[in-house]
Amino acid sequence: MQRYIKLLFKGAESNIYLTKWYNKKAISKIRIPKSYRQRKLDDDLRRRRTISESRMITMAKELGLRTPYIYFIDPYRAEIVMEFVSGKRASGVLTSSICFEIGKFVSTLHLNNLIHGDLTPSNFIVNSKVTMIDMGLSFYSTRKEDKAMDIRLFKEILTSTFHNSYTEFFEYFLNGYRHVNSEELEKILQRIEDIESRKRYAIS
Amino acid sequence: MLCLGIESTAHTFACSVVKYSDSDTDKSPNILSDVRNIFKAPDGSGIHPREAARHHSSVAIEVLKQSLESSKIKYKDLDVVAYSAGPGLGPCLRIGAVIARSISSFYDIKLVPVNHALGHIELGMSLTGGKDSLVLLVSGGHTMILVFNHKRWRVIGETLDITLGQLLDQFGRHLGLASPCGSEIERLANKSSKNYVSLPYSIKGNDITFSGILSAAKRLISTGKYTNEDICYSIQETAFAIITEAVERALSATEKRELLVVGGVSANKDLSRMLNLACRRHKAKFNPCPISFAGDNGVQIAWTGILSYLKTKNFIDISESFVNQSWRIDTVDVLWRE
Repeated sequence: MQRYIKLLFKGAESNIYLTKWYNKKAISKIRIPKSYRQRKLDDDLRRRRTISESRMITMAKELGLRTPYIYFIDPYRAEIVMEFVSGKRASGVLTSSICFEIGKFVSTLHLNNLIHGDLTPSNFIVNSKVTMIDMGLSFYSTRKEDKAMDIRLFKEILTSTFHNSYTEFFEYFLNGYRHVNSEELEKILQRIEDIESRKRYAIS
Repeated sequence: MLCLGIESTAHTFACSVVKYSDSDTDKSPNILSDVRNIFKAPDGSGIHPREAARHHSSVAIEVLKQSLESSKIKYKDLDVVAYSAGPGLGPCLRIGAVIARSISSFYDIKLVPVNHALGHIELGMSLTGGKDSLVLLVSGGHTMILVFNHKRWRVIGETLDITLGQLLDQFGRHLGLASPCGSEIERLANKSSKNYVSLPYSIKGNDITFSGILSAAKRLISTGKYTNEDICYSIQETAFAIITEAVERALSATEKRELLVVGGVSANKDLSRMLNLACRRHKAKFNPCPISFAGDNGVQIAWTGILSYLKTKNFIDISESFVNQSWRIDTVDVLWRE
């Protein structure tokens, strides 16, 4: 068992530790048990998400996207040991060009029918390049609905936290998306309107 | 300043007189009266909008009279009459609006429309002394996570289909209970042998959906393999865990240090327990709205009417007064909040 050097970050569902993996700086992501969740439900969710996340990160890597290398996983402790990526979270330093990069990421994923599931700027690390670090809610799907959900979530986060530059950021995000694959985008955007009209008290 | 608030969005018809004076340092509502009358649907059926509206129109005068009598206020002393203009059931909203318009025109009192959801939040904020809260609004009409940002309450996560209240009500109805069913389902869940049955767990980023739980639970009932109690228990465990996880994500993303919980379903003890645990992990203060004001009431409308009128002198002419069944909270400018 490896030693944890330091607790770096407490996320919503997991603790992120700085650790060593064969003398290499590494990150250990442990999904901690939730005391509020029914035990069986909790064990199941944590185990399933650990397996699926490491699989998704690896699949994204195979598509040529920058994601951390997975070194080791332990489904029963809900732990993933992965490459340490230095840099800042995109949420703190968001610019239009980062949004463009994120758009390219998402478009590549979607082209290969991978859905991110939790598309927020805080799931990207920025140094000289952009790296996607968290795919805990990602899954495989060919449905436009699911692709639209991804983009809608990103839009929602931008409007609620970056309302001043929302229009510009979202524009760049879509440009990035188009840059990789423009074919499906119009239909997906149409679908977003569809989803939004299904919300409570939406005026269609 | 005195304001009469009239609430009539769904099953509750309520009137309340609230007083506000500039000297109030704590800026909390001084509630002079709070009278409510709730439409009770027959067992196994939900709130029929027409029946609820019929109920409202038959009790309206009595509720209004009681609320003025118990506050010892006369109509001519009122400065503002506020009414819930939406979102809600059309026929019900119209009853409240008609009464508000009549009082406004007959006694020449300023008329202020109030967004019902905003009413829940603003009253909750002032009763719990919240300053910069993340808000969870859970009721029969709403399931939303909101933060205040640049003049508006912004939605950072919400249900994409039915609300938490609807999930409980519709399942309860399936069991033949009378709406609202939340408290009865809670009672059944507490009696269960805590035998957890897996139900669809769906969370999409910050958004959630409950319709899968509803269909699956109905199907499980029809197999006859499980007791109603165990299904109720499993529904609560699953749905509340989804909500709590969404709240936890939002707490972590926004780094807020307070959580305000408002709306009818916030009265559920199990939900409170789970949210409280999540707050503890994020070192956030857990601020549930006092149970007596968790559900729909007239105070929330009166209080929000006061805030709105004081800061913006925002009143409308009767000819421009409206009801809007789908008046989303994130389209309302909140100018009294920094």
